[in-house]
Amino acid sequence: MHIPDGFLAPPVWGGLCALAAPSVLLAARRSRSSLDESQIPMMGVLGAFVFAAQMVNFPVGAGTSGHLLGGALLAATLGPAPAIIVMTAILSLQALIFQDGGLLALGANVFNMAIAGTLAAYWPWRALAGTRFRKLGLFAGGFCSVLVCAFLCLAELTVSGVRFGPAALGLALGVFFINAILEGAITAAVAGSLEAMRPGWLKAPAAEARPVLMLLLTVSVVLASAGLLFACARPDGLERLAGMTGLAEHERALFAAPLAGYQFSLPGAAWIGKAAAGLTGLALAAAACVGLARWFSRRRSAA
Amino acid sequence: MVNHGALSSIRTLEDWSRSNSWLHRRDPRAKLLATLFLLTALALMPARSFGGIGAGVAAAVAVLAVACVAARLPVLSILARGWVVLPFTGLFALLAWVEGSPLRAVSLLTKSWLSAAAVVLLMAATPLERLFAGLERMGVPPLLVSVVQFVWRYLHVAFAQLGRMQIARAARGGEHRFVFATSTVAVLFASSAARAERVHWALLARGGEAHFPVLDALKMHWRDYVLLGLAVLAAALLVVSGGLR
Repeated sequence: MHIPDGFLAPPVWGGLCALAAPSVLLAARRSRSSLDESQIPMMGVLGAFVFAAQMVNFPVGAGTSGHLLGGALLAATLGPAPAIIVMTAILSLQALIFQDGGLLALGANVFNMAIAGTLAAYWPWRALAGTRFRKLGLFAGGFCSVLVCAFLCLAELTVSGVRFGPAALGLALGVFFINAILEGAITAAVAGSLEAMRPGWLKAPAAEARPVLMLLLTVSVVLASAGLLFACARPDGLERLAGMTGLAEHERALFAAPLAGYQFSLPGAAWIGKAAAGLTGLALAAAACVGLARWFSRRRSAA
Repeated sequence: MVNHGALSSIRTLEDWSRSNSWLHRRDPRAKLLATLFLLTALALMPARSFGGIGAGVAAAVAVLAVACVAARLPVLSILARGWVVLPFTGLFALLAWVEGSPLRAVSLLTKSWLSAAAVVLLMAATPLERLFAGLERMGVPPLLVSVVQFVWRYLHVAFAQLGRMQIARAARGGEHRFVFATSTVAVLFASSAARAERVHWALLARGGEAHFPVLDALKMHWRDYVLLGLAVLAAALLVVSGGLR
């Protein structure tokens, strides 16, 4: 899922860099304020651990094997902001030294795997850690993180004009779905044996005050990334929706001008307009989801 | 077993980055920016015809070759290392070909190859710790830079430990089962956490914080600005030659 350079259209990698950089800054500030100095070596050495752990093959039958990706495990042991920093560090080293993912595409890879993947892993864990579904929280964390990464990665490739046929897209989604289940299972298994060795390693509040909000956040990030992929792969259906709500007219005027210069690397400006209209609609829907969740949880805590 | 191929290729890069040449002596910030210019030019290179792609690729190879000569590094070896992206790129290029756009397939293959080769050249001409120091001076959060340096420094330790654990398991007739892989990873985590604690104590004992100093301070010299100027010219050359029909 590491996107190399040469795949993403300039507006896509540029925009994602612009999105990822402040998020990483924010995560750095948050983990600075919440950690003591001893945590810096811990973050670094655990980053090295993830590198090595990715080399361990987990046999899953039928002669195939999978391996840990580690984002969910880091989120459960370090907390979200430090996990984002460690994942960013790992992705940067992979891009620089192993040519695993491009340098310009680093923003996109950090956004997919370090930011969205970590948050999608952390929220279900936090919601379920205090309940009797603790294991399920770990599994769901690993599962959602890989699924969200895959949706975002495929969406970015598609919107950049890398075209998949429906068969190829279906196959890719199938492979990623299996990978997501594997990551969930491996994360839950490893975290289970860690708990058996020393219970203090996995960090989460004993009783989450707002489990519904956390679960709704998870669902909304999974749905939003899936919808993003759908919007990029099939803009027509969403365009109809956007046309009905009157979004398309505004969006085309807004997006056609700055993107016109990039026509040579994109299938066409009109297509981008359609996709942009769809994406804005989705963003609004996701924002509405989050807003609703906040309101809902506030009402519950007030009651 | 542990894959040692990745580590041996790191060692080659590390050896290369320690040699001395005009390009090696340049400020890491200038080299990073120059690489980003080239990568951006490669990304902006239009893919309208095979002739245009050919001209653009020829120009990019020429630029990389000149830079390799300025760094006294083997040109072919650097270019060949760019092919590590092939498994990912090849799949998508094949898909694009099947979907009926051979132009896009060729463009994907060449762009991702040349971009990877440019990054290999950057790493072969810049010691990692100087690059990190440059990143910190360019405004990357110090926490992130420290964590990257710790990951880099303990990567080899973690790999070596994993290798020892796997040899030990094989020597005891260890089967290859899911449960064993789980406990391997869990024990690796536990010993990494213990190692991190010892590292913290060692840092405390030296009274210092987790910061990695460089031997000589970074300074942008007029020659570094020359490198940046050359990189802008090379980037312009790439975009223009890629647009030829």
